[in-house]
Amino acid sequence: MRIEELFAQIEAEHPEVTAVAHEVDPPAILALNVMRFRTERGLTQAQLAAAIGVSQPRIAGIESGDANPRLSTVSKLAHALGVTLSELLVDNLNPTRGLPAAKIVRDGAEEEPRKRRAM
Amino acid sequence: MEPVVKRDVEVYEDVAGRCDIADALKRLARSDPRAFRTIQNKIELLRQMEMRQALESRLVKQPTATISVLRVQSGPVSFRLPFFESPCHGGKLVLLTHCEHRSLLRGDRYKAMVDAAERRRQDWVRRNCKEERHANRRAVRADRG
Repeated sequence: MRIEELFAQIEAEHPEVTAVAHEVDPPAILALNVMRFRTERGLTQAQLAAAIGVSQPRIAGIESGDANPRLSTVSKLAHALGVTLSELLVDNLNPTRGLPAAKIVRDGAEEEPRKRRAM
Repeated sequence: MEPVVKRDVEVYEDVAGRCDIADALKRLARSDPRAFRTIQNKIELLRQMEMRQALESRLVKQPTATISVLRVQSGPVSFRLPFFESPCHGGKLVLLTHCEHRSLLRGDRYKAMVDAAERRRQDWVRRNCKEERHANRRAVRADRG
């Protein structure tokens, strides 16, 4: 069985899983982006660690998605990798995943007046 | 950033089509949605990493030459998901056994899990790489002919 099919089936059966996405996503999103930007720039974990003043295992922890680093550390990482903070936090893990609740609510609020105008 | 190339991942099913990994993940989604989501994210991470990168990041460990283990931490609970890279089907990743809490897997039980994964790996390769082997042989014969 393909993993996409299994996950789609589980998400359909258990909508509560979708609700917790925002709680557990950021470290995994950061992990992927740090790893990809670092590799693109030809840096080792040790070199990146030295650039921001942390140990190499700390970078390994961030890239495994286990660590939830401070904003100041994320900012240092972005600077060392030559990207913006927002680029480091773009959801490249699963870009097709559902939008955050705030965006849905905001779009819904925008939708209403348009509907009223149409009527 | 370059476009993402995601590797195919499938879960092991026995000859009868039973899939205990799927059952375990479904149970987990019901009992602990956060842990389920963390496992899902780690699998997504793994799909987008090369094995070298995954090993470097401690996302994966290799207890044997053929079996790798995806390491997932959700709060105080740890999960381990043994998998392997298929020698055919373009290096597809195959998850072999269902996740277990690490605390249950100390000593011999961890080894038993890896041994079970190895048996399943051999079974999967025997059943799924056969056609590709034949296709390769046919291609070689056609080249010679």
